[in-house]
Amino acid sequence: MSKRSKLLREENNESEKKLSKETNDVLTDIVVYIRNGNISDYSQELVRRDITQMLIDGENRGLSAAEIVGEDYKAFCDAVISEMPQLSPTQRVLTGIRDVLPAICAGCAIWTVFSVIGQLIKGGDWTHVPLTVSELITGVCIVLMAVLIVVYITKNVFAERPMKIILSVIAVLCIAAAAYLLIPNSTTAVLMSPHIAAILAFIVVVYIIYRILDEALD
Amino acid sequence: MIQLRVKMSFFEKTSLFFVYYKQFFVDKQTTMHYNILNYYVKQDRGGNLIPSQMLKGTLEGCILAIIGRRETYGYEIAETLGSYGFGRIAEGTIYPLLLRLEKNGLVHTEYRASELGPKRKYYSLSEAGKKELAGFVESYREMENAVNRLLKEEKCDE
Repeated sequence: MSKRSKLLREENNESEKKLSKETNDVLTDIVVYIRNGNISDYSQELVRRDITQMLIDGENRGLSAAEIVGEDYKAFCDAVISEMPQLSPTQRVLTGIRDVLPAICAGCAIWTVFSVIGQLIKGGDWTHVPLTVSELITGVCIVLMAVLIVVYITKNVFAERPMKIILSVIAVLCIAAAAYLLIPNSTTAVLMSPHIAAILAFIVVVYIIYRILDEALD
Repeated sequence: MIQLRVKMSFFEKTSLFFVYYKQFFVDKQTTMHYNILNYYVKQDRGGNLIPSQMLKGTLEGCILAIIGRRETYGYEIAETLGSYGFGRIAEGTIYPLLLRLEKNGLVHTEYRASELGPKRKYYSLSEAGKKELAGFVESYREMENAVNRLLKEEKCDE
């Protein structure tokens, strides 16, 4: 995220504190839905600022969020998103890659820590971490599942409360299943055994790419 | 003053109900994205009797006209529209239209702290906005004259 987006986000975070809990909940839903729109981070923050100020101003007049924004929040968000500059297909793809990179970094770090602990317990060579085929497939599945869950939840943010609870339960179950699958399977063939320094270098490189993309995509 | 609130017969009201019904229920299920017009209709289906198709071409121009009078902000625009017979309009209803005007370079915007405390986004017309407004007024007058002539003749025939 660029500096201007970051500053605006901080300003918006501060402004949100002026709202009542009920209105803040509505604003959170609106922002979550807008995050899924095909617009840049900066555009998202600009719109967030406008809506937050609109809600603060309205609350001072004694109006509810529905009276300020209108009753159909989803329609409001769709209308707002359609009026903002849309990302090009290339920007869309790069944004998707950028959003996945932190998950790859975190996944690699967690896998490395657990593998090193496992090797230390076994008394083996902890400097080389064996990567099995099942671990690689599971890692890819976890990232894909995480992306799908985020997209699904943001698209259904205006669903009724029972639907939200069902979605949350499904999300937790998916993550639990993925975590179970991640347990190293001794019968699976070892794909490679990279040195721990190589893994750390990989994580750093992925993180740098993430930062570059994050800065550029605005 | 542009008079847009019209007296409607029972038949017209019934027709309008079906237009609203289609846009409110049928379109909602078949389209992912709503255009601003549908959104406007949904928000005001209770009290506003101006058909959506009439509003479609005029609302943007009317907002430009309000901004053209003096620098103003969203809530004030919504209130002004309401006072001229456009019905009660939520500020959020016109916000996407204001975004469009801003995107097209027709208005300048500035954030300033209001007397009440919270910051407000103030809108003023740009040069392009002034030209657009002049064009809208000219076109609307032409259309108004044409419709008036037609309706006058119709009245004479009756």
